[in-house]
Amino acid sequence: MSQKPSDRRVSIDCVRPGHREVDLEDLELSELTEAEEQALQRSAQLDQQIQATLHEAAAPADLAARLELQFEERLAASSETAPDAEAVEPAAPAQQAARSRRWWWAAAAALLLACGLAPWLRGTPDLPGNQLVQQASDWAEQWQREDSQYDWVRKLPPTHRPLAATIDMPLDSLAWRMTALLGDDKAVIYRAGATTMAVIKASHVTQLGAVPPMSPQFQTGRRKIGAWAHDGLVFVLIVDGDLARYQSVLQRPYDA
Amino acid sequence: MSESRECTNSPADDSVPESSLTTGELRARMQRLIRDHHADAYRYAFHLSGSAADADDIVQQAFLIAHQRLGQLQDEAKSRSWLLAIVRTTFLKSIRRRRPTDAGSLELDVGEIPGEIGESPVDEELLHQAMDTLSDDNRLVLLMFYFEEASYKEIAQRLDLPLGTVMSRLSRAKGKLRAALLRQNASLESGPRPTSQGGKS
Repeated sequence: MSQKPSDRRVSIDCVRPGHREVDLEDLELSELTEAEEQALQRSAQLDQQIQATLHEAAAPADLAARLELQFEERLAASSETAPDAEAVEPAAPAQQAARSRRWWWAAAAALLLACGLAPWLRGTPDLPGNQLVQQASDWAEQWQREDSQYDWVRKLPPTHRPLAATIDMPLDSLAWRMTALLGDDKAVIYRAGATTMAVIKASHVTQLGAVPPMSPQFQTGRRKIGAWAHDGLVFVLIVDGDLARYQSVLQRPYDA
Repeated sequence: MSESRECTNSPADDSVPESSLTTGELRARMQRLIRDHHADAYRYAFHLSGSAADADDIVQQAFLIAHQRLGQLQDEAKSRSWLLAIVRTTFLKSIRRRRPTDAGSLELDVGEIPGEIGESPVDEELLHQAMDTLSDDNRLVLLMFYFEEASYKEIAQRLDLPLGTVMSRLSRAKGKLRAALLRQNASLESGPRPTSQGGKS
């Protein structure tokens, strides 16, 4: 046992589920102490739980069908430039013409099918920005009503839906939580005082500017809402207060 | 994220020639690949990227690459690991375009974490949140361990990293997940934990 105990503890974490003997030998961990054996068993238990949970994530029901459609489209497109290896025998001119016609009919049918199915497969019709901010007003009301039910995280802001760099939200009072919005099940809501911001990955939202609007697109007597899209994300800013307060949250336009 | 590099025989290696399969063979093999492995590919992409939308994009891209490279897959019994390697490579290429903040500085000291994690099933959302707090480097190594069932040596070889780096990343990532699960177990218990009457044992 020449390794330091801390190094041996790290090595134990490298033993794969179902490969105990091979990995122990490979890691030169043939003589385990009782404490190390317990640590190994706990690690194996953790591995088992995590693996089972990781495999619970469900793929979209239509994913296989979409992949097959994508494959068939690519196959049809590539057949024009790369002849089928099964059909290398030279064909008569009439056969070639017939094959060409068949190919064009197939390509046209595939294109029509793809165009017709695209909105259905995507399942999310376009949402104009003005409708989005109206929806956001309803969200804000709901979030306020149900606030006590939510667990807000007060550290480790997530990187997958980052807070817009142009928004001034004090970090010391910033909290966030994940939720599902507009089909994005990893959307994030940030909150600091009277300011709330939703960051959503939603490609179907249209008619939004690329920078935060100085004039809110939706307002009531006590609430101002603005939305914009940048770098593949939709940002919805909700400020409880007057116009001056809303504008004070906006720092500067994007450099891009 | 460190600049990971695939070995030369990797599935997504651009130097690999186009498939020489006939259309019929190609269609049959692709249909099997989609039918048998699309769900695993999606899960892997989902946990790598942390996003359902990104996972969808990654899987579609991965299957496009698989279509182009299917001729190099000699042994169909290895199609799962071959496809998952394509998913990983596709993910790595996508994040090089949008480097996220590295949360490595926020990681816990593994040595401070107690080992008892209980028998209760792991909450999927909690595990996902814990995954999100890992740095991309650590999450990648951990998911290669769990999804590709790769040993630390195989991970080091595929990512062109020193063995010690892979080992410490793996241990650190597991430590963070272990801590998250401990917090879950603690919250599942009703009321505060009973305290020992006799002080330290």
